[in-house]
Amino acid sequence: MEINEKNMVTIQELLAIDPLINGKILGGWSGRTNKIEKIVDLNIESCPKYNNHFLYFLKITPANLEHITFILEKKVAGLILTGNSEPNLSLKVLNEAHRKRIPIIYFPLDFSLANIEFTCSLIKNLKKHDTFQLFARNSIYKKITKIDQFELLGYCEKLLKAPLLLVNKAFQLIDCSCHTKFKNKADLNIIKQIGQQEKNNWYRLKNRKPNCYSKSIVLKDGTNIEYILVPLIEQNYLYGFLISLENDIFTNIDKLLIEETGQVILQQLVHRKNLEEIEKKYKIDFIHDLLFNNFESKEQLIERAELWGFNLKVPQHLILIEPDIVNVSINYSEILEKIQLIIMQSITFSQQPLISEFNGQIVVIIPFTDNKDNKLNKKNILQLAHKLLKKLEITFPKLKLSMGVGRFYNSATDLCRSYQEAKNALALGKFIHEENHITHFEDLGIMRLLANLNYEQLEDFHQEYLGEIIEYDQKNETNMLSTLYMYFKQNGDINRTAEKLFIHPNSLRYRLKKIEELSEKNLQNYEDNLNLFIACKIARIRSQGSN
Amino acid sequence: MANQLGFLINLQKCIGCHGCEFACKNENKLGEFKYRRIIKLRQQENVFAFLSMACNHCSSPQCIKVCPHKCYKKNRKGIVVHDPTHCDGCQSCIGSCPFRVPKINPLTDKVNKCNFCINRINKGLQPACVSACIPEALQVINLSQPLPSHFMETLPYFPYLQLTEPSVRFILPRLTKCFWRNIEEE
Repeated sequence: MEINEKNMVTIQELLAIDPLINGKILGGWSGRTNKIEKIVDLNIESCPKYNNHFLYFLKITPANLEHITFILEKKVAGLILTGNSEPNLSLKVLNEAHRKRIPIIYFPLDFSLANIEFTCSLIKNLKKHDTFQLFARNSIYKKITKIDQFELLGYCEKLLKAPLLLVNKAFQLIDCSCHTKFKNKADLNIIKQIGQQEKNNWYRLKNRKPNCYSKSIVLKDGTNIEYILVPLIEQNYLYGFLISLENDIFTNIDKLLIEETGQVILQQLVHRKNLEEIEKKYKIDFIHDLLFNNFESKEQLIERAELWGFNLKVPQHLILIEPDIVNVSINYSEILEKIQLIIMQSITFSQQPLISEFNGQIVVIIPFTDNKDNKLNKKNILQLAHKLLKKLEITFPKLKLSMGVGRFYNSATDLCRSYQEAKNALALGKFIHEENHITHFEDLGIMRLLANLNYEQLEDFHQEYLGEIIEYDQKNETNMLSTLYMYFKQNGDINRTAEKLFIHPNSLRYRLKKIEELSEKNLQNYEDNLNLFIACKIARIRSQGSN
Repeated sequence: MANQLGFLINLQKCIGCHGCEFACKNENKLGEFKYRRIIKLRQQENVFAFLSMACNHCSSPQCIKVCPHKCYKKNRKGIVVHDPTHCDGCQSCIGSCPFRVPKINPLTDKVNKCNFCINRINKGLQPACVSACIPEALQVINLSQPLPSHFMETLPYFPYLQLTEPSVRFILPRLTKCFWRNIEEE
């Protein structure tokens, strides 16, 4: 009689359904696709017939252990052992089972043949109604949720006979099922190349379900690698990927196992992220209290800082960093995270600095224990700020970054002052320097005073000194105001100003004379010079403010 | 981002009744001294409005920076609180505040200022001035949440560079209308 193989149940399918999913695979799992036509009870039949579609059921006793070797010599679909305790099979037996692709599975004594036969017929019925996959998925999920999170990848590797890798969304290895492989550079290079291939699909993957995607890649050395990729997505947020490099052709049950493992890992990642978010919230609360003087005593502050691993017993320096992002398509929080990482890698101090995002800016608090000379401290912190800016400019060439530095105080309780000073330096620095500026609070000069005056006072002053010049510029389409501004910027040097403006020095002299006429001020008079200079500063504030 | 409470001042609704001023005085037992004051705005023609001003509970309060005795602190709701225990009335905070909000209390010779009725806030109540405002021109808003675009950040009366980032928003006044004659026709 011809056997209809399509309707037959494989050993893997049999072990994918509850309660048989709890059976322990002792060896020969490479034969998991062997199909079962009949289950033969070797405990009853004295002269059984051996067939490659028959699954054999045997109660283990010390006497019949040798019988296993005999069965393995025949061509059979698989062997189920049952008994009080798990049999200790020799390596020779296990190797033989692997070579002949005969799975050996152990069940505790309470599993009867009737159980297995019932499951077999159940699977057949489920397959007829196309509901087997759903049933198997539930059973697999139930099983793997009971496994310890640190052993989950290892458990899956045993069933799949292929390594499983957990990577983050930047394809950096987080965890691996095999501890020896994927530690060296060559193996990590495979992940890197997969990452480069998948990079472009990243946004497309975001809107997909966390299913298995079978893919292949031709590596730079010409080898072709098949792999399975499961994007770990929850509420449109991509946490990472689960990758399995195929050793053999994966069955549907294998893919189900990878998908469900991905689901369990995803839950763990979501949980971890939530914890990180809570931790971040507490950290931001601490930084708020530190920077806004919201604490009872210095001792309490130091104690709280110790919980976060910071030593506030020593004096600290504070730098505030703000990226000027015009392009709204850039993910601002991601940029801030990257900047923090680069700063963390760049600062090498004996004591840990405090680096955190706070109100859309990055606060860097660095312990300074070396010296107590304020001038030297200022020089050191500015040197460090320039070093950081240089590194950040290399990483983000298109990004404009500004830094504000507060004054140095000996006590951590004064960090609230240093923070406000750094904020002022950051905000006012743009009126003094060009792009990517580093401004120390002590270098703000007259801007500190101008910043506190109200609109009308500044307008009046500006109009009084520069009103005529602006009017003249508008009427005659000249640029007297920018000439005056450049003259002050070049410290009154006629030749350099003319060079910067691409005009002859005599033309510049004519313009300056005209400015003197219009404003009725003498540029050689120190006081007039100062007033015009301040009016030019106000003009800059006005123009920046309107932008 | 931490919470940042602030005031929304609707200049279209404020009728200058001084109700907020009296409620503040009553709540804080201030006598002649006051934290909140009403300013008449007549900056431009056709503009007639009242502005009710107290501490703006700035995001970057300069008073915290300058106080030598660290009497100022900003809590996690964004309220700038002054603790007069160590205050010696040096007035450095008055000079640093662009709105000149802190005032010397003549009875104690110490500085005092609006504390957003922090005790009422902790009990889940509105500040006294907001509760007392009958035309609902004063409201409490949370600036850490997105706000409508017609909530303006500044007024001509305010300093040009708002380094302190005051936690106050305005709904600007409408131009005054002459109801008994049509100006355009004239």
